[in-house]
Amino acid sequence: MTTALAIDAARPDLDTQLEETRRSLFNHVASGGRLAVVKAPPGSGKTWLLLETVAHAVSGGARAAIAAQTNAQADDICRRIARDHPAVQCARLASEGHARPSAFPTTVRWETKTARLPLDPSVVVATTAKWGLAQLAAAYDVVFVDEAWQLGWADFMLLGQVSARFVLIGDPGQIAPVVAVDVSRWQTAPLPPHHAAPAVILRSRGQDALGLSLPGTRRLPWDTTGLIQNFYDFSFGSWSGPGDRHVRPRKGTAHRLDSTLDCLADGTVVAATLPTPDEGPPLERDDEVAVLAAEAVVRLLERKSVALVDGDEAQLQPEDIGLCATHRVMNTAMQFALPKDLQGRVRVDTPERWQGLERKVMVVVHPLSGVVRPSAFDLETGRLCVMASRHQAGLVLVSRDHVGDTLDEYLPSAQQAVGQPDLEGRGHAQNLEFWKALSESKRIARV
Amino acid sequence: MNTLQIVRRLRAFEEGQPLPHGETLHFPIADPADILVVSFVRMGGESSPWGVAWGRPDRPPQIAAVGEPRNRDFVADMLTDFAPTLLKHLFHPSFAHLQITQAEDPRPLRQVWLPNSTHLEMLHLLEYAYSSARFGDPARAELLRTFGRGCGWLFRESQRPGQSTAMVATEALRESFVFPSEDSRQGHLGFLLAWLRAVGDRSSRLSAARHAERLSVATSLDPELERSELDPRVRAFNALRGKDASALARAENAVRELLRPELARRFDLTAQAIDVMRRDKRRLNRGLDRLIKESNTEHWSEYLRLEHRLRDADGQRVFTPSPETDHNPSIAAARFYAIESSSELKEALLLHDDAELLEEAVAAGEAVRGRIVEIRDEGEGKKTRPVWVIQAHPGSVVRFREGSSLCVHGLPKRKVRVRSLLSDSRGIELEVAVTGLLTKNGKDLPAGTSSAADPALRGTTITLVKDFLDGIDFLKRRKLWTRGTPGAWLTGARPAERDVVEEIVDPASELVMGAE
Repeated sequence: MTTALAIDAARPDLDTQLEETRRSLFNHVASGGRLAVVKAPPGSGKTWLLLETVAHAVSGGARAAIAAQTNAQADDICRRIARDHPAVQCARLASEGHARPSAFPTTVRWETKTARLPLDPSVVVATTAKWGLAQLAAAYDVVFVDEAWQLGWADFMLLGQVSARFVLIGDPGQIAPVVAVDVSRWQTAPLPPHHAAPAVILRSRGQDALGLSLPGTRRLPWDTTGLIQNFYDFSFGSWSGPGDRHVRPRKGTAHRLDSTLDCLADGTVVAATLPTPDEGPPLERDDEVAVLAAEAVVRLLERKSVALVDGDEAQLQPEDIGLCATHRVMNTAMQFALPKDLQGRVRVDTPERWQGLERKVMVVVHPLSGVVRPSAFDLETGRLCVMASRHQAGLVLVSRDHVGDTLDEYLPSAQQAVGQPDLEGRGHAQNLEFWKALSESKRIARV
Repeated sequence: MNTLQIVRRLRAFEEGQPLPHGETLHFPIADPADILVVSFVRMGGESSPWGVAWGRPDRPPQIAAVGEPRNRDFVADMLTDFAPTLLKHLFHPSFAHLQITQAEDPRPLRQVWLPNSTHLEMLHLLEYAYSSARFGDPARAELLRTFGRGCGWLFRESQRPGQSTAMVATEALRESFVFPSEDSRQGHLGFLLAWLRAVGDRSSRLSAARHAERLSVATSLDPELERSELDPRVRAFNALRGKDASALARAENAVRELLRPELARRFDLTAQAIDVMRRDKRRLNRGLDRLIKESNTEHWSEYLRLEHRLRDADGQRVFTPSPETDHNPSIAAARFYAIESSSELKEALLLHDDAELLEEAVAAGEAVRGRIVEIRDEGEGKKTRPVWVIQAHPGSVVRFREGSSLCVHGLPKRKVRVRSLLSDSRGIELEVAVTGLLTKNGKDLPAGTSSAADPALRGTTITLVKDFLDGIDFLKRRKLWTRGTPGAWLTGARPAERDVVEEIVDPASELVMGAE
């Protein structure tokens, strides 16, 4: 029924490219470069590169700061420093309301007062919000910003009190900073305060920033890499090749989803659609789609599916599978649709919360399922990109079957200010391309 | 639109009439003497006004119009009649008797009311047209520049959530009532007022609303009126220019006579909207006192302070905001923080005094209601660190995440931080650490307030709402303006001899981003 996704799977020498990127960044930081922006595809080792560079800078005598976007990310970075770079002196700067997590590495100092931070070569990890309002005794040599595409330009400017030099690393395909107010005043501003900081830097003239990108993804299978490539303005590959990843259900043809799930053996992405009711799909909470998503999880487990990831083949466990929808109500519906013994073991969450995480198999509700009149917000591809880039071996998209028609019939209104990019039109084109690629490869099945 | 809002709209459809939205009124209404109603009309395809009506809502308006709106001198002369009234109303230092020299100076609440959003956009267009005007008589040009800046500030202020100075009548009515109609029709003031004021059953009201909808309320005129009646008169006026002065005046009057009822209708509808709101029996939300205070602060810091500087500049260049955008990155970021903070403040303040808004927030997942099922104190020694486990009511939607700062509805000083959030088939369970008002002692607490670690709280139902972090935006703005920081090049600021707090800089003398 299906064919492999029609995607160019050329595998350049990724290791060599990665080493070049690493060396360039080391040299840039060591030579006092003021600004660097590193674009990283999903699962490409951006935090690894960030920590490698931090360790190199600290070993050269630098005082480095790391700005994470959430406390959970900051804590995780500290754990990785303790594990991978035990020689680097590290401190975690936290607010008093944030308690030290259990099993936090004892080698990392936990500080709530800036006056007690180390002044010798070391790295201090805190959230951007914390750094932005901290009173510091001395400037840092360089600030490393992790998940930088989630940081707005206004908040980035506040980091100017921490250091004069910055390295920003992030995934440009991820979800942009959430803005809940009217920002029309800054549509044409040269440095819009609400835009992602790296995007502002790369677009502005006279920044003199070193621009780098990571060459490939370790997480994603090769065919998924091609599928999500159109969400990015730089090319990247995958360390995996054809045959390196798959999900193979062992037995069974009785369920309505079984033949669809079988397709994961010869390609890692498949979509299952339900008919759209004549009166239109349900808004936000679509219980039938939620049940379908839960059934996909159950059938993968009931059929004792095995997942192959880079030579390791193992039977799927509930913890290997994730569920994701853009609306919380839909996630709740999926949670309820799961059998009790799987609840709490199969993670169910929004794309915002899935950022930075991965599973062997993801079952996701297409963000446009149920959206028959998409807005610019609906067409923004960050959420779809996150949802389609969390898996190592298999991705099952579930949706109502109107998505292709909805995208075909949609005409972007180009309401952006003069001279500004048509983000709505671009989002529409990328969504269309994504769906078309699945359709042309016959990887969309009606159930 | 969340489920509760959809239900309300359907109920309004069922009852065939608008229904009140909110238990309280969410904006203040100034005394008639302190309200300036303004309405405009413009020629199709033109951005400058053809005529303007202004005045108190309880009195007939003053009306001015020109024979040819494409002539900038005619329009400029017309606006010099209106400009002093607007500037006096805004307490401009050169026009108002009452001199305001700091944010805290007492002043009556003054508002400018406009019929709908197209009239608000006209203020923006006037800022574009006049804030840098140099043409014609220098005194007139200076008045027009001042007028343009006043219009610009009003327009910018109108975008700030919770403000109470630039009031758009359609938005005020939509904030206060749920109308039984599609959103796209609710931008018409006559349509909304007909729903509210017509008597009879659903069909009578609907019929009145449809009838009202046929008459234009926007700044643009009915194309038929413009084409068949106004256009010949404008041609006649233009044909007489440079010839017989009295005939020209008569021709201009002929144009005015057609525009007068158009302007008056827009003015009257706005006055009616104010009257509807003034007669409303709902009380004012207690959060409005603080919002008015914020409005006064903005009025001073974003408008009057600048005008004082300009008046006292003595030939020196003084920064004035661009009509288009904020080119200076620090100014842009500071205004962005101010808008964000205003939005959060408005939401937080109104919610604590309006049960209906609270229900909306719960339905939208912006607040969560549940029962405290476990209380423990993780403090050591004399230090208390209460932790609550809360079982959310079935069907709850929660948009919070771990780390979110919340507070107890009705007890805003009792703040909590979400530690964990688990959802399964039984519902959602939150574990929160209480971080504010740990004891039962404090100023202005409701009677019967318990300490946060009191075991008696177990089993009680509480609602948690978003906390407003008072003062954070001020701290951020101060950081933006602090000079001499290592990364000052990010804000384009010059290294300073001393730290400067919240000083408005002159972009012309500042470095641009990246250039040193």
